[in-house]
Amino acid sequence: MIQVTIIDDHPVARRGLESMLGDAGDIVVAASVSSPAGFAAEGTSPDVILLDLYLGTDEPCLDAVGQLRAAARVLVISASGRPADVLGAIRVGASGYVTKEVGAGMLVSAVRTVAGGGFALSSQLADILQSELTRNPPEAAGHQPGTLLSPREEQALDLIARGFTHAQTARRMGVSKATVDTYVERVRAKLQVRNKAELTRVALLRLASGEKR
Amino acid sequence: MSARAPGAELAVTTPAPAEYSAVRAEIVLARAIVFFRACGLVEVGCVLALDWRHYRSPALVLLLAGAVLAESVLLVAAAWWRGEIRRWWVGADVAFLVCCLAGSARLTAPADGHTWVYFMYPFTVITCYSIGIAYRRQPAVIAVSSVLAGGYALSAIMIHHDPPWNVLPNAAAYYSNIVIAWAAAELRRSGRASDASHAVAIAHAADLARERERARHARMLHDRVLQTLEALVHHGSIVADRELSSHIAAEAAWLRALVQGTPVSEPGDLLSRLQELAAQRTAAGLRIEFNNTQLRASGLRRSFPPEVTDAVVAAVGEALTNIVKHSGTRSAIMRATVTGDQLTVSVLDHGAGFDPCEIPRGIGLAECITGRLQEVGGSVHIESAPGAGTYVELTIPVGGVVRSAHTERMT
Repeated sequence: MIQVTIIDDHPVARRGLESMLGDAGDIVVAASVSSPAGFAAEGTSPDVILLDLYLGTDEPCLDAVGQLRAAARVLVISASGRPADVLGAIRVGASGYVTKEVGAGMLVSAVRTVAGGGFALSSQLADILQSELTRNPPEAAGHQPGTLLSPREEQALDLIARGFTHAQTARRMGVSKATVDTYVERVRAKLQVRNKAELTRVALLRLASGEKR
Repeated sequence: MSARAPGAELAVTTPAPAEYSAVRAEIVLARAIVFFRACGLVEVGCVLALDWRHYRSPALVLLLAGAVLAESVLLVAAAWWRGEIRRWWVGADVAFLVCCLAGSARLTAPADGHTWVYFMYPFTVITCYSIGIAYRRQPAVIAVSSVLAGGYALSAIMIHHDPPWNVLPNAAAYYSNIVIAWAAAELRRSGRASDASHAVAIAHAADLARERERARHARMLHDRVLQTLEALVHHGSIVADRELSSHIAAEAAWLRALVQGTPVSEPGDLLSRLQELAAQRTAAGLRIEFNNTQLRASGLRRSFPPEVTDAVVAAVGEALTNIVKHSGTRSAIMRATVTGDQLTVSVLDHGAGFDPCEIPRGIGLAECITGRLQEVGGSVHIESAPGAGTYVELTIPVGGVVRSAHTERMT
């Protein structure tokens, strides 16, 4: 059984998520709390933390993602599908990102993927990542060498962004599903490698803007 | 002069009056007058200190100096107090100085050996720049300078009996006011220009702030209220009453259309039209995921001719209708990208699918969509198999459009 903890400040959303996951059969909602502090107080050790990105504030809780990933794999769920939020969450170490518009089937499969150590790449997430990682020259010039996508990785991302499942993507590319999973895993690795230098920059920026306030 | 720059009323943070460049320019010019006047008075003081023994009628000379001092203090105080200089003050000052020049010539003729009328000529040359500063038009500057120059020349020649060949070059010094007037005009003009551009910048900042605020509100409605409404609808067990549930669903659909849909300012661009279409179909019960990051990031959403946009929207609508009628599923994924020279829009479902060779379904769908797209030079690719869903891909070459849009952005 997959142990899941839900962190969401909306009681209605929590209840909805609980019922969606509860129906899956192989997933148990171990705890359902309104904040990361509540999770710490519960003292549970789940396989997957389902974390709402906006916990009652205007700012995405990227810091919480960074901290919680030490305790369990974090699957971010948010009403926001903004590229900046999605990329931010993946870069600080989320194992996947689903929007709240997602259907029960997709949510359950994302939780299973993350619980198995994989990267839950929804078509929406693939769409955002492909756009971000294959920007045309002006933006790409600043990228570190070796962090851009290989043609096969981009093809996989492109097919997934169109809505194909990993299995369908594999068939279209003439490879095995395991190979597609590897491509997806490499995409995540590339994002998170690129991340380190950028994280430092973001942290410095935040520090600077914090001092101004 | 008017201190308010045009458009400044609209600003979020309007500067204090003294922060306007035009006002500052006026203050600088008024201070310059004060400075010239002070230098003139120092000159008079020096002459009095050095020459007081030689006076034929010291009392009258002191009276003249006293009158000049008093008038100067009055003018300086007014200029300092108001932060500007008025034309009539300077006009009255010039009239007063002409009288003083005559008086000075009378008092010192023919005893002093100078070829100019005692301390009044240097004093008027130093202080006459108030003419160039106060009068805005060159003809007026030349006319008023001529009054002063004429007053000096007449006093020097007629009363002081100086030789004209000496007096005329001396009189020409007053016309340096032309240069002063030009410099003052430049200073004022750059002050006004700076105020105008500042006002424009403030207005832009205000627009940006309003737009951000609007986006923030839309985001908050989307992230909070809409989520709750949709959660209430999607998890049927929470709201048992069917009528209430469908009312909430309608409200949720309305709110979703409001917060994501149609930016009112730019109706009709491809992205907005496809979003509208998705919102309509979502309200009608088809769950649509619309992936459009690349199209949005490309900045080309407004570059497609209306006929291309119409054809794409109609074809996508047809594909969505087909999903509702035949696929047996209630969800679809749309994606729009612009790569290289082509626009690609795909519609995918994981529903029942069909055999493409089967006449009524396969051919019908293809014909319906293909007809619309061929008119704009596009093509359609449909893949389906029983049980494997349906994939519809629309491609339209847009090389010319994309290139011209790029050029537009670069120029």
